[in-house]
Formats: sequence, C-alpha cells, structure tokens
Amino acid sequence: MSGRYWREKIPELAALAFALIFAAALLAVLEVHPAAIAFLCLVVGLCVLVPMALDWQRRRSFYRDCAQRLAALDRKYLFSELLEEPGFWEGDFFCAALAEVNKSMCDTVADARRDMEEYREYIETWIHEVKTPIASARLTLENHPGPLAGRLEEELFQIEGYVEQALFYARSGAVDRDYAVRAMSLRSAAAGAVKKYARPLIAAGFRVNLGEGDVTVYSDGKWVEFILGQLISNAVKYRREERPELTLSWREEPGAVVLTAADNGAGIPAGDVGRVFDKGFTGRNGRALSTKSTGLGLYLCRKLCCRLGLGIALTSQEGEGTAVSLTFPKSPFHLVGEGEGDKTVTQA
Amino acid sequence: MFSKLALKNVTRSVRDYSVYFLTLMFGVCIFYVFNSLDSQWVMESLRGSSGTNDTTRQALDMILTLIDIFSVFVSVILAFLILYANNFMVKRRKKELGTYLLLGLSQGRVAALLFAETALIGLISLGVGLVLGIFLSQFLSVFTAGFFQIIITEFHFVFSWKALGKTLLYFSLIFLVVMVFTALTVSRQKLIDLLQAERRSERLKARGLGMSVALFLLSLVLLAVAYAMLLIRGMLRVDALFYLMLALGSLGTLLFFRGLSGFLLQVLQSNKTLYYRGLNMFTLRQFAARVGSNYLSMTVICLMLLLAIGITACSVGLNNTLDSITGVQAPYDFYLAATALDPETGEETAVDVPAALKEAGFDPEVELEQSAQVALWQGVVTWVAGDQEEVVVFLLPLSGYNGMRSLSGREPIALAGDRCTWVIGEENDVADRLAQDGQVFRVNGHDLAVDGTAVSHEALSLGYDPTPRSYLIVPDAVLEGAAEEGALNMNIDYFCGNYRADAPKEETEERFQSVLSDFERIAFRAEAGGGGWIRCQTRLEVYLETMGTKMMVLFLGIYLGIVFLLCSAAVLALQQLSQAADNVPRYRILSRLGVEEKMMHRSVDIQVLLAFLLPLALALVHSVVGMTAANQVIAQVGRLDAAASSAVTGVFLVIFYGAYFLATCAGSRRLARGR
Amino acid sequence: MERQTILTVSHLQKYYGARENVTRAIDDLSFTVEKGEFVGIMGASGSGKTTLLNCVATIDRPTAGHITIGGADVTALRRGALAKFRRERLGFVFQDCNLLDTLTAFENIALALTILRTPAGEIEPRVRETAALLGISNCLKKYPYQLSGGERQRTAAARAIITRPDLVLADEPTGALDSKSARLLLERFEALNAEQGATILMVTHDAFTASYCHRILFIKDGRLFTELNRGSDGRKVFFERILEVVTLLGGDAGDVL
Repeated sequence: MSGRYWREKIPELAALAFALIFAAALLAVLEVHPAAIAFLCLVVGLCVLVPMALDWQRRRSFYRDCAQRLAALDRKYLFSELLEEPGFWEGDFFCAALAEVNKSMCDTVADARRDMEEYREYIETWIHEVKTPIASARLTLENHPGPLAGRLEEELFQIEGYVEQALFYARSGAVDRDYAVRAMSLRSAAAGAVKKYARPLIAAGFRVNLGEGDVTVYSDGKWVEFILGQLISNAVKYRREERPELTLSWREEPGAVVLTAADNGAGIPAGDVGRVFDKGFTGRNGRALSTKSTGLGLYLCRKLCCRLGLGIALTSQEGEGTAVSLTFPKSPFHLVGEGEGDKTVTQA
Repeated sequence: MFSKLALKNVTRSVRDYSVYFLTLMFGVCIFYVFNSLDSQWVMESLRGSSGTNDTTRQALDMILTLIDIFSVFVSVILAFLILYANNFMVKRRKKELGTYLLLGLSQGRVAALLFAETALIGLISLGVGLVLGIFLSQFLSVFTAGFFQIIITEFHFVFSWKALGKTLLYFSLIFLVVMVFTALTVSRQKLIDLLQAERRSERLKARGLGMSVALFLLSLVLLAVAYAMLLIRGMLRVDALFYLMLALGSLGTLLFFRGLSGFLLQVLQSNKTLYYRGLNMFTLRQFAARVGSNYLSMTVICLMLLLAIGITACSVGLNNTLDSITGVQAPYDFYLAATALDPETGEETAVDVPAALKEAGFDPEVELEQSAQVALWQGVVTWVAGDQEEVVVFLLPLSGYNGMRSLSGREPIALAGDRCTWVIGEENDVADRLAQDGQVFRVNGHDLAVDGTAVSHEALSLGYDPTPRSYLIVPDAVLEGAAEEGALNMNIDYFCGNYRADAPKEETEERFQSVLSDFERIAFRAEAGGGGWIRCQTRLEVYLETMGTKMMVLFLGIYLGIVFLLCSAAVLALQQLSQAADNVPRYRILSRLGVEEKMMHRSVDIQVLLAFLLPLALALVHSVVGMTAANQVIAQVGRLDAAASSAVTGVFLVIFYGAYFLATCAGSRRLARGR
Repeated sequence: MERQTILTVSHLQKYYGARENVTRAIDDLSFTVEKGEFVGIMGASGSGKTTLLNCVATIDRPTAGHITIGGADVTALRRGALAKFRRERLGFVFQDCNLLDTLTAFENIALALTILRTPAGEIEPRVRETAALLGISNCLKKYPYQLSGGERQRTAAARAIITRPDLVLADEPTGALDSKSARLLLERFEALNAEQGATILMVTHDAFTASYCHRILFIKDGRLFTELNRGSDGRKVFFERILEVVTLLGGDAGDVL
C-alpha cells in the first residue's frame, strides 16, 4: 500500500523538485552562495515532505489496521462493526459508506435466513401432519391383512422413507444445527437401522451380518441411524438376486472409528464412482431401476456427515459389491468426558 | 517488559501530549539558538574585522556574558514550565498509576517507571529540539547580518559545540529535577486517591454573580488608578509609590480575571436573545466556571505576556531609535581636533590638521570628499535689547558654519558684516526670543543684528555631541582678536570631513586610523619633546559602539520575549487541553441530546478563543500604557519607533501564540468528538 | 380509540466488535409501541436491553433491521440528520450524568429548546410550565449539585418532555434513587403519560419500577422472551406477575419445569 501511495504522489514530488531546481538555479545566477542555496532547498523540501510523511503515516496505520481486522474476521459482513472512524475525510467517508453497505447486506441476509427458517418450520409441521394419515393407513392395512395389504405396506414404508428424507434434508440446510452430540453405541445404531428396514431386508432375502463387539462414538444417534438407513436402502435397491448379503462392521483405528456398510450387490461402474455423492446423480444403475432413483440419498448422507463432522467414503467393484464407510473421529476432547455418563452438548 | 511499558506510554504520550512535546522541543531549540550566538559567523566577522575597536569587542563579550547569565534565568523559567506540564500529565494519569499500584507494582517501581518515561521523553525532545535549533541558528545568522546591514559575502554552516554542551547540561539538570519531583509526588499519593481521581475531577462550582461584578468593577478602578500613576509620574521614579503602582496593577489584573466571568455572564444573561441561543448558555457557563478556578494562572499568563510584549517591543523599538540616534549624532564621517603643547613654553598652540595629516600619509584633498574647519567659541555677549543682559553662548564663525553646511550637502549662507544668525538646537522660549529677527547682540565690540531669514533649527552635533545646542553664527571678522579680549575664547578647533565617495568607506577609514599615530607624532612635534592632545571620532566607530548596545538589547529582548511568550502559550494550551479532556462527559451528554458536531465545535472554539484572547487583550492594554510611559523616557533621545516594534511583536505573537492557539483548538475539537 | 404506532422495531440485530472479535448483543428483535403507551423493557444485565435502547435512541447503529419512529426510518439516516432527529423528536432520561453541572436546573431544561433555536421569548414560560408538571418549580435556580437525586432526575425528565417529543426514552431512571424518590419520579412519569399523552419507553431491571408500565417486554440473550400486558390489573397484581416472569428469566428452561 505504501508503495502505491508514494507512486501516486510522484506528480506532486516532481513539481516540488522542479520548483526547488528552478529556485536554486535562479539563486545561483544571482550569485548566492551554494551553501545558502542548499540550505534553503533543504528547508523548503523538509517543510513539504514532513507533513506529507505524517499524513502517509496516519493513513497507513488506519488502512493497515483495517486490513488486519478484515483478515482476522470470519464473518466478513460484520466488518463495519469493528471499524473506528479515523478522523480524516476519506477514512470517515469509507467507514460510513461501508456501514451502509454492510447494513443493507445484513438486512438481506437476515431476510433470507428468516425465509429459510419459515420454510423449514413449514416442512417440519407438514411432516408431523403427514405422519398421521400414514399411521392411520397402516392401521387400516393391519386390520385388513392380505396380499394387497402387504404390497401397500411396502409402498407406505417407502413413503415414510421419503418423508424422513425430506425432514432431514430440511434440517441439514438449517442455520441452527439442532442435533445433540452424545456418546452412542455403534452397534445399537446399526441394529436400529437394520430393524427399521427389517421388512424390505427380509422380503429381499438378505443375510445381515453385524460386526463383533461394540464401540462408543460421539455423535447424534438419530442422524447416524438415518444415514445407515439410507445406506441399507441403497443396498436393498441395488442388490444381487441370489443370496444378497449386507455386512455392518466397525473397526478402531488410530484417531478414528470406521463403520463400514458392505454389500455384494450390483456395484457401481468405475466411471460413476466419483460422482455418486453429487446431488441428483442417478447413474447407469439408477436409471435402470424400475423405481426411479431420486439421486438424493448419498448426497444427503454426505451433507449430514459434513454437519456431524464425520467422514464418508465409497468403494465399489462393478458386479462385486459396494462398501460405504463412515469415519468417526476420536478427539482427545471426548476422552475427557468418558465415563461421566450422559453429557449433552448443545450447539446453539 | 518494564522498558516496553515505558516505551509504549511514551509513544502514547507523543500523540496525546503533543503540546508538551512541542513546548519542550521549542524550549531546547531556543536555548541552543541563542547560546550558539558566539559561533555565529556574523559575530566572528565582527570581531575579526579591524573596523571594530576594543570597545566593540568588549561590548560583544559583554553580550555573551549576559546571555550566559540570562540563560540560567531562562532555564529556571523553562524548568518551571516543564514541571508544570509534567505535573499536568501525571494528574491526568492518576487512574493509570493507581492501577499499576493495585496490580502490585511497588511505589518504587512506579516511580522508576515515570523516571524512565521522563528520561525517554527528555531524550527525544532534546534530540529533536537540538536538530531544530541547529537549523534555526542558520537563520539567526542571516537575520543578524540583515539587521545590522552587514553584507553577506559568504555563508557558513554554523555549529556550536559550546551551545550543544550547555543545552545538554542544563536540560539534563532540568529533567533530573523534574524526575525527582515526579517520583516524590507519586510516592506520596494514596492509592485510593489515585483510583478515584476521575470521579473526583473538578466539580465546577459557580460563584455568586453579584460579587463577581463588584470585583470586576473594582478591578477596573484599580487599573485606571495604576495607569494614571504611571503616565503622570513616569517610569523612572522608582520609589515607594512606584511599587504601590505595580501592586495596584497586579491586583487590578487579578481581580479583573476573577470578576470577569461573572461580569460577562451578567451582561450576556440580560440579552436573552443571545443567551438563549444554541449552545451559548453552555459555552458561557463553562468559561465562567473555568475562569472562576483559573483566575490566578490567567493573571500570571497575562503578566508574562505583558513582559513578553513589552520586552520585545521595547528592544526592537530601542534598536531603531538607536539607529536614528546614531544618524543624528554623527552626521559626517569623522572629526579630528588637535592641540599641541609647545615643548618649551608649554602653551597651547594650534595645529594645522590637514597639513599634518598629509604629512602623515593621509592626504585630505585626495581622501576626503568634503572637509571643514570649524572653530568653536564660547563666551559672553551682550544682549542689547532689554537691560543689556549678558548671556553666555556658543559661537561659530560663518566660514566654519558654512563648512558644516557643505558637509551635509547644503548651500552656504551669506551674512552681512553686521548681521548674525542663530542655529537653534534646543527649543525653548529663551531661544525663541533670542533668535527673533532684529535682536541685537554685542559680540566682541561689534553690534550685530539677527538675520531672521538665516535662522535654522537643527542639531548641529559638533564633535558628535548628543546634547542639542544652540549656536550664534557671526561673521569671521567679528571674532578676530576676540581671544585677547577675554570675553570670548576658542574652545576647540574641529576638523571634520566626509570620506571620498569613489572608494569603500571602510578602506578609507582604515587608512585614516592607521595614520593617526603618525599624525600625533607630527602634530605634536614629539621628537622635539612636545605633547598635546587630540580628540577624534569616526562615524563608523560610533556605529559599532551603538551596534554593540543594539545587539545586546535586541537579542536579550527577543530571547526573553520569546521565552515568556512560549511559556504563557504553553501553559494556556496545556490547561485548555486538559479542560477539554475533562469536558468529554459533558460533550457526550450534549451529543446524546442531539447537538450537532458543528455547534459543539463552535462552542469548543469559542472557549479556547476566550481563554487565549483575554489575557492577551489585557496584556496589550497594559503594554500600550507601559510603552507610552517608556516613550516619555526615551523621548529625550528620540522617539520609540512604534510602527516597527509593533510589527515585529505582532509577527512573533501571531507565529507562536497563534500556532499554540490553533493546535489547542484542533486538539480540543478532537477530544470533544471522541467517540 | 384509533391508536397510532409511534415506534416499530423490526428484526433488529446488533453485533459489537473490538479488534478481531464480534459478539452478538441483539438477535432478531421485533416489537411495536403505540402512541401514548408506557412500555417497559426488562432483562438481566447483558441481555441487550441497554443496547436496544441505544439503537432506538439513535445513539448506536444497528447491524441489521429497521427502526421506524414517527414514520421515519432512523436506520437510514446519516449522522447529521440523526442529531437533528434526536433533538427534535426524542427525549432522554438516563440513569446518571444527565445534567450539565455548570448550568442551573432552569438552563438545563432550557438547553433542549435553545439547541432547537426556539425564539427566546417562548423559552421561559415553557420551562416554567414543564417544571410545574414535574413538581420542581422551586428548584429552577439551583445547580445540580444542590439538588437531590430525585429532583435531578425530574429535571432531566422535564428536559426530556419539553420539546414535546414523539418518544421519551428512559434508561434505568430509578437506578440511582432511593425508593421514595423513585416512587415520586415514577408517579410523575405516570402522570405525564396519562395526562400529557407522552409515549414512554423505559428500560429497567427492577420489577417495582416496571410495574408502573402498561406493557413489558422481556429480553433474554438478545431475543424477545415474552411480553406481559397489564390489562386491567392493579399495579400490585401486575407486580407479582412480573416477578413470576423474572424468576423464569433468571434460570434455564430446564430449571423451571
């Protein structure tokens, strides 16, 4: 910044130099002693340069301060709250203009957030409402068993799945992350997810293997169950016809716990593997299915994993199977609370 | 960490207390400049040139000695100023110091911290001040040369080790004293007082208005009496009444400020339209409250300003007066009068000056443009009119007088054989009567009537005589044989001349001076054992003598004047700035009420203006009266040059006082704004 | 009775910053105040109520949101216009440091008019009239240091209403007063509100003071927690209702149930 400042002052400095040279020449012609000329030029030069230097110093400290604060701030739209008016006209103008700009920006952002909030609340309300007719439909089916009921039951199950997906989708975009991080058992999460999808698994003839033992991780149980559910749903959708298998296993690694859901289904073509997590990606297999794939399942899983701070990765071999692994990082912070029971950490 | 803290505090001080810094720097600067006088090349050239004789050299040495002495005095004043300013700074930082103590720093350490800070501030201001001083001393050379009409043939860069040493020494002493004082003050404070200093800050109590008005009016009376005393009795009678007059004046000034605020308030409150407008109420009340608590310092400032103005004006005026006096006193280049004593008889014999000069190597016809031989006679003549009164007069032969006229470039006059005329130097009734046309005087037996048309009123300054005299001009013939008669006798025979115009006067002067010893030898026929005496003086000599005085007066005057001016302005500035800082909560209230910045700035400006202007105004009134009285003294010798002295004083005032005023305004505004 | 809205606060947000950190003082606050209402704002210290008052008083600028007073959006005004707005349309009573100590009480009150360039002839009668309303007619010639705390606050109140502002803002006016002076002051406020139709917005942490209001907004952590309306209750009953909410405010949601 300083370089630029002085470069822009070059015309003024040049004019000063010219004036001094002219004065010196004139005085030399008038036979004034060279030492006197030098002294005079020095004095005049200083009288012009010193105020210039002081001004530069003042501006530099202000702008440098601004730059530092701006760099250190993460929510940059709040910058004008950090600024102090410096006292010279440009700085004051700059601060005032920035304040106006930031205010209008904050207003817009706040409006957008409010709209999103309202929409999310609507979705949640809707989901709550829609659960009632689904439940009563189920009840009705239970009262009238039969092959029709079975089919309808499967469809209802699907509807419920999509409703849940919508709920989590809405929640994933929310500004407030309302999940509760607790100690949870991976086994019970896996078991829960399997139990939920018991019907389609049994109907498809799956053999389900759960891993050995148990391990405790710190995350939101509900969300993890939902993610596992999505993975199971995928496994069911893209299963092989004969003896489909699903394995949910976990292992401890230095600094993390890795949960893997592996199936022996159709697998994903090598070209598509990189894009499975993209929103709306259906791929070759997705399109081949009779039931249209929304392409949202894995996208949502990744989004939720990001929110929770989990890692998600997918490996597949076409024709052999697919394995998705979730990584639960073990931070030393968690070790502190181990054994102290139920600790709720609410992120506001 | 300690040094870092000290350093941080100082960098903060530089910004907040820039007035303090500037004052220190200027103090150092002025000190150095004036003490570097001896190494100024002007002085060097003055001393070196042979044109200066011993008297001048002595005068110059005396100036330097005087400056040395006054420097001590000046450094004492500056010490007080620095102490005052430092005290101010400490007072403003009471809360901060209290915090240090609270945090567990021992009193010794806090004192040491202040020590370190003062030392640092001292070093920085010494450094910058010295650099500035070295700069300005170059200016001083130029200024001096111009002032004394010395042609600048070359320009040296001057630097005085002696002044540097002195400055360092004196200011180190001052800072040492200040540091000790500060340490003592801090160590004696109680912690609780320090912490609560802010809350206890000046509770401004407004005083009874009625009493203020009465005091104000009383002060006006006292001042009027003091002025009258001064003007009527004059400056020179230093007796009990003189001190009474001084006391009355000081008391009057004190009461003036004491009652001023109340008086102003009363006056302005009666004008409701003005009073109830904008922030006028607030401004006036603020000012009244401040003056109410500051009247003592305002009086001191007023008196200091009076001293500053008075000294500067007088010294400058005196300078110009001396110039004109010299011009009047020595209207021609030299005079030489010699009387030889006959080696045998011991009687006084006349000397043929031109011949002796020529023989000695100085040919008057070549070296001199004009010359005149004037014999000065003195004696008794009879005033025929009236009762044949006998009067003692000075007489000049017509030829001599005409010679004098030619020296000053005037045409000679003609007198009839039976006429005389007068040259009136001293105006009074007697002279008027004597010089009336037709008055008859009997001189050496001749009756001469006054030729009124030839009477001239001038100071002839024969023999560089400063006293104005009146001379009776008579035809040469009248004085023949007068010496034997006894009534009249010849005092001195002057040989006066003007140097040649085609050569520089200094060269001719040199030649003249160099032949004087030879001239004596020849004129007195010293080899033959004769003696005699000569009287000789040249215009250049007179000039140089007075130059010494001039310089002394001027420099000391300006030195002291600037120092006093600086002190008053600095004290005022510091006071005003600290008051502005105290006012910050009040300005915050105003800002909350919705007063716009422009109105607040105006209020700030008016307060500062009043604080700066009032002592100055009163000081100016005092100094006008004082200078009128001084004029009466100098009137005998010549008038004080009012115009030049006012101009120079005005310039100094504007530069120093004005600069401080502007800085204070800017600082106060910034404080008032402080968001 | 047709009531007109004097103050509208909509989605107010205020962040404070120093050096490199910002903290949120107010988060999405919205409410309205009608003409002639006497509204109180309560909350613990640090809840953002003084910040709120400062924003409404145009002393501080909100980060986001809009504040409309008497039809004018003050968040859109520049600094010069803000000062003008403050002196013409608002009145203030703060907890302390209200009055200028170098002016008499009369002059303190008159100051609000002189900065509006009111003709000098009008000033005196108006000051006397307003002083009478607040019961300080015999204090006018005295200086603030000669007045009691209650008298000082009433002088400040006189100054606040003499310009007939749209809104009177009071920040803990009874904070430094003893109970008797506090009661006197609050009764005067009540009278001003009832008889002169002054709209008053008062911030306080004291339930007793708040009980004089018609409506109370409770702020917690920068958000509107709840609102209490006096309705037709007497002051004592209202006071008890306030205490209930304050107890709630003091703890966490989990503590109450």
